[in-house]
Amino acid sequence: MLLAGRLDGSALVVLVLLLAARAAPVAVSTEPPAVWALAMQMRLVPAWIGVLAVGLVRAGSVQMADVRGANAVAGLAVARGSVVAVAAAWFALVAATIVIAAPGWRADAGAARRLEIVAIAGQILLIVTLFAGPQVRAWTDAIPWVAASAVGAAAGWKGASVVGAEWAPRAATVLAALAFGLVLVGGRL
Amino acid sequence: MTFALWLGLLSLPAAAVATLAVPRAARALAGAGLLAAAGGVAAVARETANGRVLGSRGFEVDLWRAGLALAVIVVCAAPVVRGGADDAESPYRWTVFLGTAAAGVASLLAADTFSFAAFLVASTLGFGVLCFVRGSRVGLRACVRFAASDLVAVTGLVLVAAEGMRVPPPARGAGAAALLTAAVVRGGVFPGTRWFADVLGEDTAISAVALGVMRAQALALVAWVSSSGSEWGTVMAVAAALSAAVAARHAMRESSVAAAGTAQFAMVVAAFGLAGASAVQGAVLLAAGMFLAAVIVVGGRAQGWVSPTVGAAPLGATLPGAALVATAAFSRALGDRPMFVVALPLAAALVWLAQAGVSGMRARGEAAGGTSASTAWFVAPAAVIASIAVAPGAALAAIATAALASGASRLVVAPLPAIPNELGIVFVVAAAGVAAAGLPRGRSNDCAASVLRAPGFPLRDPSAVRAVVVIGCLVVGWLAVLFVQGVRRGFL
Repeated sequence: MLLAGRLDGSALVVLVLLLAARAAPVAVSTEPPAVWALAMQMRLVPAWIGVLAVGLVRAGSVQMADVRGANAVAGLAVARGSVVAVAAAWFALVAATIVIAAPGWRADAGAARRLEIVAIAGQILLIVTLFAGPQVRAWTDAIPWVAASAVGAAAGWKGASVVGAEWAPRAATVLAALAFGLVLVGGRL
Repeated sequence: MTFALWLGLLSLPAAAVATLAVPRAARALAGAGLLAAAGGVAAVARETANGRVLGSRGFEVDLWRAGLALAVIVVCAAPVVRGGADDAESPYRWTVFLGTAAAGVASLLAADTFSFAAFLVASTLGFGVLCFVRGSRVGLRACVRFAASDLVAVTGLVLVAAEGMRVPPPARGAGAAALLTAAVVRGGVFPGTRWFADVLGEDTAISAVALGVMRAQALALVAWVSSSGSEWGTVMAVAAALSAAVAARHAMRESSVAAAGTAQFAMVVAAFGLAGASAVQGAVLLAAGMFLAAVIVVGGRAQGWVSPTVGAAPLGATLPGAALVATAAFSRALGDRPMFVVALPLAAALVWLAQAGVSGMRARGEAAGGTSASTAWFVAPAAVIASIAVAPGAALAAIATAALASGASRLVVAPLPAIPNELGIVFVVAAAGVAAAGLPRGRSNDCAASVLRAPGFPLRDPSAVRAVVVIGCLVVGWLAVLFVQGVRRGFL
């Protein structure tokens, strides 16, 4: 409801709920890999905060509805705006892709697995909402949503084999910091 | 009207006397005193919600100070009421403990800075005696730090004395810096946080004084500095935000309750540094979560009585409070870019605290020999939001307003808004989480489980019951959010 703009609410609340949902399947497990996965999620938090901050600075508001409004008024972050702002959006998008694709623990089946899938889907939708989701007025507006969500889903599904656990948190944090610096310099609408 | 409050305070030494001979009687008295104190605070709340201050014989009380005093009473009563291994120790030590708690309460209700300073030093002395009798070197080392904070606080009070000795003092300049330094030392954030965490490894009495008395006094000092419009507000917010992030990361990595408490305290300090209605509301919630956690840490150690729902309560207050503070910091940073130095660490601390809740529950499940934790734990940390944040939303606003009489009220410059939507949203999710976490799982002793096992309850299958209750909570919570939004937009 928050992502769809049906409720007013802080984007930080969305992030907290999604990251907690992502951590929940790990909490279900007592296997040693789950401990490692929890630590990995902790290391990815700074990158998440940086990516979110880029979207918020561009929109000039913490409210999720305003972030969506920024895309509706000024166009997609990855295509519209100053060169610096567009570069910041792309850096943030790459950082978010790495974060979503970072290796983690995968629940086998049951409620934990379903919860993990919902959490990953929510994270992808958050990123799309921040940078690539236009206001839907015609069927063509759905194309960026579908395309960006598909890329995110592919990254979440198969990315773990490409993204290394050793460098993913650091790389994502550096990219998010770079994007944040750029958007601070000249990215606000 | 404040008779019940004073009765509650007087019951502490009464309980101590009873401890000399009959521990059970002492517990009963302490429990009665706790109830009386709670009644007194409720009475005070009713009388002071409009900013009025009640005073008598050198003491004053408003809603903010009453809340802090109640926190101290509850935290210190927990080990007495619950009993435990410490029963075998000297009853005189318990007397010192309860006297220290009484001095802590008195310091919070003092009407002038001289009395405040006297009770501050008395609290530290009591803590030192407790540690000395116990032979706790860790505690004595901490006591040296608390004594140093007393010295700095007294220096600060002397520096601001020219402006008057009423509480709250108008703290500015070097005096404000001294009071702030004393507060962060007393709260266990400086120098480093390890020493305070080590204190919590000692017995219940020492832990209760550190988590209850010292932290409440530190919050009182912070509110003074913040409400005076001191030039140190931004510095306070930056340092506290960074400390909160470090402590929350530690809490997440180590599943450390002590580190989580430090993060909560640091976030409260940061919120007071930020000022503003939303930040202060968040600070009130965070403080409530911090003291609830202290009660569970201190009381739960005695007999392992913490049920899942009770265990989730502190984070239930913490998460929405932290969300409010971090959101307020971001809102300010968007107009004042350097404030991102505060907003980014606070956001990280918020997320890490949420993850720490998950990992903490997981660690607890492992320690209890369980095979797994409930998937509902990802939302269960927001459990008591219904009782703390949403149901008495007006009370929350009133407590924030009570900073008025206590000095922090000047931060609330505009009529307090209705319940922020974030709280309602968290409530919706939390209600479902509480229901799912508290329902029957075979050996659960939660009250919800007891109700659902009652002979007259129509559903017997736990899964069906859980589904029905979760859906019911979502519907009720959703209606609550719609109601709040309707009120805010003038539809109702």
